[in-house]
Amino acid sequence: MTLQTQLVLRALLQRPTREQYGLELCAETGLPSGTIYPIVARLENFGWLESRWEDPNEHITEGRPRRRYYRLTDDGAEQARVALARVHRPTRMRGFGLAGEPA
Amino acid sequence: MTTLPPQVAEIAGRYPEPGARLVERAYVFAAFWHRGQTRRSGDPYISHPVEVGATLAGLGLDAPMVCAGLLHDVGEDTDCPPGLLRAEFGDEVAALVEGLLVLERDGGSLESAGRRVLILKLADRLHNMRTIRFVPRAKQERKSRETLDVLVPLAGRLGLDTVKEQLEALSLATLYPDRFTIHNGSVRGLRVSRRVLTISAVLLPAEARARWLEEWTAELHALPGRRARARFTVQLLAGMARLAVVLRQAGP
Repeated sequence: MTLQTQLVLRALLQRPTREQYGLELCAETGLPSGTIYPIVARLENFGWLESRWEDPNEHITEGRPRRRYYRLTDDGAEQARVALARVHRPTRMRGFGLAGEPA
Repeated sequence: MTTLPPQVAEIAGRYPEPGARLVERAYVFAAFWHRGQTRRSGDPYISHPVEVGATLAGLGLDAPMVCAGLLHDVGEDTDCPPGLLRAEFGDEVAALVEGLLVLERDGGSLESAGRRVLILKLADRLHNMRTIRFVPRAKQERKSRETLDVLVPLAGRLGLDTVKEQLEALSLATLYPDRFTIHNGSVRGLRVSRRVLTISAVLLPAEARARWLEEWTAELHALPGRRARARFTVQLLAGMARLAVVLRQAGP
């Protein structure tokens, strides 16, 4: 698993039930947009992520285009935790991840 | 003493003694060793270190940093004997100039360089990007990409926002001359970002295009300002082929 994918999964796992749109993931991971969308598309292919369009009531009220929101599936959250725990984290990445994960 | 160019006198005048004299001496020394050399633009070579020194002074850095800016190419591209720079200007200035040389020979091991060497590097690159139209096209592209990938983020980490913005604007305008122009030093998206995205979305599977374009339209809408939208768009273009590959791997 690439470091970029790990960063995205960690960002999503911080609040596994929360929905986030692409720009929020860019901001949280510090990754460029061109990196984020291929990753979320692939995670969606795997069934780790699901996405939906924003509720019309929200974006119409705010007068803007509708957002696409991403959320970890239950299965995806579980698999992401297992996969991240298996990854050997290089020293310089320490501090990025979750507490209690093997260094 | 020979008369100094007004720009150099202005820079030196910002520093109390002995800083001002140090800056003047650094200019005289650099102008001597670069004598007869020219930039690709046809300007005397000394114009480049003077601009680098002016940038550093403009950032509020101290006299030794400005001297290092004035002297930064003396050790590499001239007949100046090794050791003379250190003997004339001392260890601090010599260490900065050498630090920059090491950085360039290593092909950029930015982690090991000190903060002041990195700032020197950024000031050097800023003037090189301002005059990049004089170098061959292939080199323009290589330098612009390196600037976007490495030096723009570095300037951000060092908190040098004006340098970061200028480097980014100059690189984007060089790489995508038909999409961006420089206007008062910042990037203007000439066409609406969405139009650029629509064109390059042709790489994506036809049935997926509308979804992604709509998603990005919302993201563009949420971004504050033209520059942020331009950056988002350029990054997306860079990742479009990868996204296309991923989407073609998707099941029905």
